Amino acid sequence: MAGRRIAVASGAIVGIRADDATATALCDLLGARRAPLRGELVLNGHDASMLSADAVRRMLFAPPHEAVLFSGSIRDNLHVDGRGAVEGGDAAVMAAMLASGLDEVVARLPAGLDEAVGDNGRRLSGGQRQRVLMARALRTGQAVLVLHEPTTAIDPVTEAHIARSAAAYLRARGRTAVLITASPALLGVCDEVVSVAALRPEARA
Amino acid sequence: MTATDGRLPIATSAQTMRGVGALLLARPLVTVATVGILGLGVLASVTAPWIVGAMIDSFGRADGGFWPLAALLVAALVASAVVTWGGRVLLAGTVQRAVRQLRETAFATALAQSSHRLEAAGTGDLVSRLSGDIRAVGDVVSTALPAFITALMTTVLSLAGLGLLDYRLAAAALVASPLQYLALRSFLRRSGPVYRAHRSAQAVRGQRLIETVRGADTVRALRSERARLDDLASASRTVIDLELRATHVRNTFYGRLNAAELLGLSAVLVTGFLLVRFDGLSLGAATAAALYFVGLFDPIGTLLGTVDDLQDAGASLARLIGITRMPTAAEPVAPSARASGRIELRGVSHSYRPHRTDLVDVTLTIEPGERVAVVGASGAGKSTLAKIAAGLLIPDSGTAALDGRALGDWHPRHLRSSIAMISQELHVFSGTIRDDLRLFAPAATDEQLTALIADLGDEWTRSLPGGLDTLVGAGGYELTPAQTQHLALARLALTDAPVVILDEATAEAGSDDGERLDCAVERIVRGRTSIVIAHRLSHAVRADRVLVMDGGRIVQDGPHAQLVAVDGPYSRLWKAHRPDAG
Repeated sequence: MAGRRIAVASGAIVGIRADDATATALCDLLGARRAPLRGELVLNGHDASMLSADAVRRMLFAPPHEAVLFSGSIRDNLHVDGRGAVEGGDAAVMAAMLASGLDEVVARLPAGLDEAVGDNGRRLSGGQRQRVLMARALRTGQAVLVLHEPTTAIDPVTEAHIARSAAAYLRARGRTAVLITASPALLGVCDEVVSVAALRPEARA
Repeated sequence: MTATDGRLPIATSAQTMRGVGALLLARPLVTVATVGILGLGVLASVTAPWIVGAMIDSFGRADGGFWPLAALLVAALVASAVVTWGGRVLLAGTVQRAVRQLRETAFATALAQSSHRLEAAGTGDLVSRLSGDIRAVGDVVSTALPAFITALMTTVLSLAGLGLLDYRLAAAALVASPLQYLALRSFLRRSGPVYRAHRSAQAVRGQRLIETVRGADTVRALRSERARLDDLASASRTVIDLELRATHVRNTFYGRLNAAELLGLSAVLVTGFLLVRFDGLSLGAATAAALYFVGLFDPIGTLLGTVDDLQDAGASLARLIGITRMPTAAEPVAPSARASGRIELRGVSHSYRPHRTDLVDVTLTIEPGERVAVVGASGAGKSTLAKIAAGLLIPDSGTAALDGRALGDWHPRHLRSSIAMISQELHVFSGTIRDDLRLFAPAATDEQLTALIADLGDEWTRSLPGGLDTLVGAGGYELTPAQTQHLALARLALTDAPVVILDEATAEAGSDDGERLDCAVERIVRGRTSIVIAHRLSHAVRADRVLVMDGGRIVQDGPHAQLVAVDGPYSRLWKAHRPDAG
């Protein structure tokens, strides 16, 4: 990505289309899983190479594509217990569930929100797992949300529905989002789509 | 022993005893010789107090005889040490062979079970039996069991020695028994729950630790490091508290045992004194009696102390022998001809849980060589359909057949070589990539494997640090999800199965990898009957026929071109898939 500059305005939803290696590298950079070089990442005017990893993570929530669920119930996993926790009761949980399509999953499980997800979420199907991860991501408190291919195991109709509702959720809360994906449904709800391979912005809403 | 609720069977006490007996009597002469030699060793050691008594009595006599007795004492102790050592070596060999036999039988029986049987039981149970229970049995037979056997023999022979000296001395020694019994009963009652709680607390701690380490990136992204550490700390504190409680229970037990020994030894000494004083018992005999009783402290402590270990091992044995008693299919009588690959489902319905139907009255015929794509929302029943067609799941009602013969009537081995399936949960076997592939084609050369992978549309193995020699799986090089799927497809390509079923086999890929995986799928389905479940509709476009599922039913069935032309669920899916196509 040498010489490439992607600017993300506060409150915008930006899609980034990139090959797998670039997408992973980008997600790792934004999640502070590798140290940024000087000038590589600028957050609110601060060069990230001057910031601690924790300071970057305080602004950005960028889980890896293979983010894990912890054994316990779905409810436990939606309880984001870090320092960036979102306060709020059942209403806040419900809003995140509706926006991520998790409500449909939970409605079909015998124990509902209290259903145990099993070791690394293995009791859920891939699509169910991704919806829990999406709901958890929406529940976090960081100003910027970075998601890497969050809907690979979800069918196109459900995916389109999630893309619309999650975008509405984020916009209503003024949160900034970066979606690193090749999914037409997710890219379709972005304000702007950047194709890293083509090195030029494709659309501007 | 019940298998009706789907759980793995646990053997009854009688079945366990029979199972253990059969294992030990596999080589009856060795087992009998082991017990005999151990007995001889113990017998040599319990003559010691008697010889010491005789040495004391020899002081009073003119003919002496002290030094020959002293020599005899040394000889007895040396003989005891040597013979007991030999007996223990024999015992270790015998029981370790039996444990190995048990492990191999249990493992082979488990492997011969159908996967739906094991999934219904929960794989966690099987894994804990084949690892934890085997280890528990192995530990106990190599430590507690030899100690228990020699202690039991020492106790019996010492009491016999005591009785031979004077039955009244033996009666005095028995004063300790009720107290020992009460101490043991209270110990077993209190220790069991504490030990069980301790083990499950350790499991919780281990689970939390593993999850946190494995999910370190997620934990950091969520900034929940502190919360996870607090969780771990509280789980560790629970383990420590339970360890302290277990120690307290053990200390109480040994305290009571010591009190019982004090009482018993006092009774023997007082009785000995009275018998020497008033009944003409020799001083040497009284001394020997006291020595016999003191000599019982250790073996009785060992006996009582190993009871809970043996109980534990007994529970583990019942779980292992329960597995070995599961029915397995007999060897096939004759190799069967390669199936032509015609799949038929007739009125198939299934529900995983009551009040919910996952598949409703599905009737379907797939001709040999036909390529079928299954699409539909998550939860529409696609995976259930795939598992039933593969014979991995037996439907509640209706039949599934291959080449006109019900799947249940096929020998499991023939069925597995006829229908190959890749499910959503993929496994990378630990070892090199070459080992992983050779499981399916033992005779393949490196050139063939490399050519195969290249033929599947991707040469990613070349970019790996060690090529085909790269270690993968647990602890090895971490393959990307797309590489894992490509590897699974390569394994499938190596099999000769006439029917392949792919459940979301290309799901984990971005667009570039997706094309490579699609190319591998193309290569695999050529010339075979195939059922491809994919939410990416590129597979549906290339299929001979598309099945659209919703709510457990097939709602549309036809070629892509036909379905996309009519207004229905498929054309709506197609528009969602390609927003620009509508």
